[in-house]
Amino acid sequence: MTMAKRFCELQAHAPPNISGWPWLRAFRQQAQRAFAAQELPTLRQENWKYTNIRSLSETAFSDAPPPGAAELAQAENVQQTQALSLPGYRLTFIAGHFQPQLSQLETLSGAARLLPLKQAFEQEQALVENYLGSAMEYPGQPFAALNSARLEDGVLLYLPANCQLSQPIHCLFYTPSGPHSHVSYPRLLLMLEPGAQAQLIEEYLGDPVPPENAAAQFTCPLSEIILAHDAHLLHGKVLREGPQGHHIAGIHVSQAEQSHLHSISITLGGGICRNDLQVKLHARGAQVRLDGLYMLAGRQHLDNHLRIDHLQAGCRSEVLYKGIIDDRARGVFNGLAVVHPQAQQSDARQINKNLLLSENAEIDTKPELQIDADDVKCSHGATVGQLDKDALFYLGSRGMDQPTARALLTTAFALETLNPLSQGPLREQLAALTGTTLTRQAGGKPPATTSHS
Amino acid sequence: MLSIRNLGVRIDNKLILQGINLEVAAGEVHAIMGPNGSGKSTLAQTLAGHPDYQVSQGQVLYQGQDLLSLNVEQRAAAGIFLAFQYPVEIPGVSNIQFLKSALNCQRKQRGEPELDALDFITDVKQKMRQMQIDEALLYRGTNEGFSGGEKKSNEILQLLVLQPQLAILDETDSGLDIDALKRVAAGVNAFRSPERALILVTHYQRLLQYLVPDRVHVLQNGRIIRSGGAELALELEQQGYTTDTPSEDAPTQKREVPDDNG
Ligand SMILES: Nc1ncnc2c1ncn2[C@@H]1O[C@H](COP(=O)(O)OP(=O)(O)OP(=O)(O)O)[C@@H](O)[C@H]1O
Ligand SMILES: [Mg+2]
Repeated sequence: MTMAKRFCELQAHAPPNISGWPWLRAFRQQAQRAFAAQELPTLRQENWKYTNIRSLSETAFSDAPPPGAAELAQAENVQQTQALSLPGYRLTFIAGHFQPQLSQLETLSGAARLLPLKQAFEQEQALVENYLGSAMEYPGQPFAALNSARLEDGVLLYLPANCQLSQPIHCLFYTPSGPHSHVSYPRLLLMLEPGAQAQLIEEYLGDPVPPENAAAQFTCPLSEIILAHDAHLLHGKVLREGPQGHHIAGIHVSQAEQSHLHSISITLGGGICRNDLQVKLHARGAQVRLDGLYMLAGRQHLDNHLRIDHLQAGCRSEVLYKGIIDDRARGVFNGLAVVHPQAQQSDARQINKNLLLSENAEIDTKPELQIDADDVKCSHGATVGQLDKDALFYLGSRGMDQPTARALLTTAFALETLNPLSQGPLREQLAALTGTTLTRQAGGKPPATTSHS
Repeated sequence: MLSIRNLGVRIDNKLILQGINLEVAAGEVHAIMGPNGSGKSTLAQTLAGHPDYQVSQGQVLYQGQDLLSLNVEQRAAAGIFLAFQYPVEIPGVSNIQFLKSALNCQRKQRGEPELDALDFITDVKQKMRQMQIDEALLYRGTNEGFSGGEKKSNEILQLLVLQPQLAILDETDSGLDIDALKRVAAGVNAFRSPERALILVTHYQRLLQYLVPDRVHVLQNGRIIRSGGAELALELEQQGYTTDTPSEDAPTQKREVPDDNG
């Protein structure tokens, strides 16, 4: 049975353990109707022009079962050897299932809450009911609707006014490879009340060396982020699925007055991957900085779609996405900043820069502005290029071999996206991850002694 | 040490060097002078191994081996160093990272162990003091936003750290103030030894007062049209390239006017 057909028969498959909550059942049914009302996207849709999900929609994905002992051991190994190692809280999921024994959670003081979503359905029903679905819309977002129709577990973070978490929250989603195609729908719900502050990192990992018979896997996460007045969130996303790991994710953000979001999105691997990042700046002084880095090789496909709505005056958005694309990989960048008529004194900047390391690598980039106010500062730009030949020669003339020189230049290009992060374990680890990925990529090339255009 | 025989070089199918002959022995200093566009940088870049410069004829022996069969990094590891006329900016790669990576790559190619990090940084800082380069430049992107003079001094810092055998300085003196010129000359003099050789590409006599050449060559239209002792540089400075050249087909060239900042 194909994805499309299967998804249209969803009601019958509603997991029994949460179908007992009438409000949740109603929520899922409504999402299911919204999903069924839209076609699965095809290349004919402007928003999906470069990302072909046909192979996905023709694969029969079944709900991922809870992990067995082998997967648990593998997850533990991946967590220790592959995942970011951050101080603070950690929630680990295997194929969407929460794993308390691989997690590091403590009860937060006062009204603050950090817990698996499934547990929150029981213990924090009022919070969930109040906020779930409040930062997103279904039209034009079929996978947000799909996640909502199928959601079972994930993460709930609620910080009351002025609650500031000093330690980061690390949410690790591990997708085991195997002979069967599975799908999971993690859901994250993050609410920061006025003056609250937090750092949360979503990390999606597959097996670094999948077995030969590995079947396609699919992860379809959705994060809702609600930032009240003067709330500050650092949101990180690291995507490192295996070549069979497909990933279509949404991050939907709603920002109030003076709130700050700094998002850093790093994609190092995966099959067909897409990030839809939607930010609504609802009130004066809201600021968002979206930084992104993608390093694609093999036949990876990554589509980053960003949309920022400046809905009121005096908001600021800044986007810097950089890509390094090798082999036959393909990147898509589409960034749209919409300045609505009331949004005077908006400041919207967008830059997308790309390095193509091979002749067959491809990037389709389209930074866009749609401005309906007159007193605004807006800019956007995109570049696509190769490594600077003069720089390569200069490094070579000082004795650096080609792989070293290329790795040095690509790493320098990439690390610019981490500059806004303050010094600390997160920045160090992201930098290290970037460095090893690029060194491995550069090392895999034959040493070129002549020109590299 | 270096033996260039009948070297012809083209770039984009345009013949630039047309039969250069030059012998440089260990311990010697050679100066190459000549009008703009005569091919001085082309010669320097060809010796360093720039892939865009195609050798159309001739051969180059360096310490007895065929230099032209080595790629750029192999030449560097074998001891060739080119101080660029226009040093390249490398944003995001700090000067210290650059130096360390370069030195360790060379050592690896020569089968030597990596340098101890502390010894390395101590050595670099001592040489920066010698060149009076601000230590802050160690942590900035290599040459990124450096002033013209800082870039040239930084080339000599690299020379001092990398300790090559044959250094080719392509107009390192251009754009330096008087004190910086003296420091560069002092740095290069510290580098000199009976085993090492130096090729100075310059337009001015001034540098040659501090680094007295054994031979001076005049390059014009891709050929060495004259060679002489140190006194030839002085003569050229006074009379220009055109007055006394034996080559009758040389086009008229304006005399070089020295920078007014020195
Ligand atoms: N990439 C290129 N394509 C075409 N011509 C080139 C290229 N590079 C150099 N040339 C030409 O080769 C000739 C020699 O250039 P070169 O840089 O070697 O001169 P130079 O003697 O170093 O001059 P200067 O004193 O101005 O530094 C010039 O006419 C220059 O225009
Ligand atoms: Mg020149």
